[in-house]
Amino acid sequence: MIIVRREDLALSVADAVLAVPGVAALHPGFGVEVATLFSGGKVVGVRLSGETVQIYLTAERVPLQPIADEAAKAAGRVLAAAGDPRPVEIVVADVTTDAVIRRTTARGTIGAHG
Amino acid sequence: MRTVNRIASALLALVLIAGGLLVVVQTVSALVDRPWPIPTNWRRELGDVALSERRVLAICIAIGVVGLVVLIAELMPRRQARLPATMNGTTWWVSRRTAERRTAHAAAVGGSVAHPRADVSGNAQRWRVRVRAEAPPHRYEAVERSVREELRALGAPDEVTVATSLKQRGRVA
Repeated sequence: MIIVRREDLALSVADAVLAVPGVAALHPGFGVEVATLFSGGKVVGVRLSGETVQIYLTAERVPLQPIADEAAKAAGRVLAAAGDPRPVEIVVADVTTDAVIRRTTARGTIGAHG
Repeated sequence: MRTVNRIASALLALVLIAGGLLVVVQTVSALVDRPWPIPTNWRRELGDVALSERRVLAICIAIGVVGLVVLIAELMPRRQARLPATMNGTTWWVSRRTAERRTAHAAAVGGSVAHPRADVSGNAQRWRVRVRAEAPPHRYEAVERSVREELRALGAPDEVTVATSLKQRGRVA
């Protein structure tokens, strides 16, 4: 088994997920903060404790399914490389206002021509 | 409720710390023959208290009520914080608040309604959506079409029940 420090793993997972197109940011969740804590800091949006690895993110566009799919794959690759077999749980906690505006504009354009 | 439980755990921890400190202070003060803050005769005084006394009854009732409230609060069904969406057999999640906000927004834009409100719940097989807004009844189809389109983009399962309730704003005479 490969030994990786928790913070390094959490940071690598966060970096991999943030590199996915359509992911605007990681999200702290609602209520109790979703984060991986370690001495000297924390990685918000990635929870490594538990039977599954939870990732909370903010999407910057819709549809959400391809973003969630890619984010799960990206995180899964990092975990597999670190020898962590746990499944990944993706939670789309928010969608940016930009995405809402873009979609609204597109809908309006379709409506105007249709 | 998880937040409430965390706060309750923190409060319990504080109470336990305070209790521990009290025991330490009491022990040290007893060792130097100056018992403080609890007098040494507390046991005798407590022994003189009858169960029928009003304060005993009041304390018992208060503890019972607090216990009952906590039990009911823990057992009460709560709204889901996130909704399951499926993807090639794998489940991912969408925040309920986000789904509701976007659904309401879709109703407002696509259906041209005022003051839209959406409630979304469900499981991986089916979502149930309730939309309420102020609009004339002929907007019904446009609202539903727009809402369904938005739900598809949010990753809702194929089976979605949408209940739309449109109410016309009362006219001022």
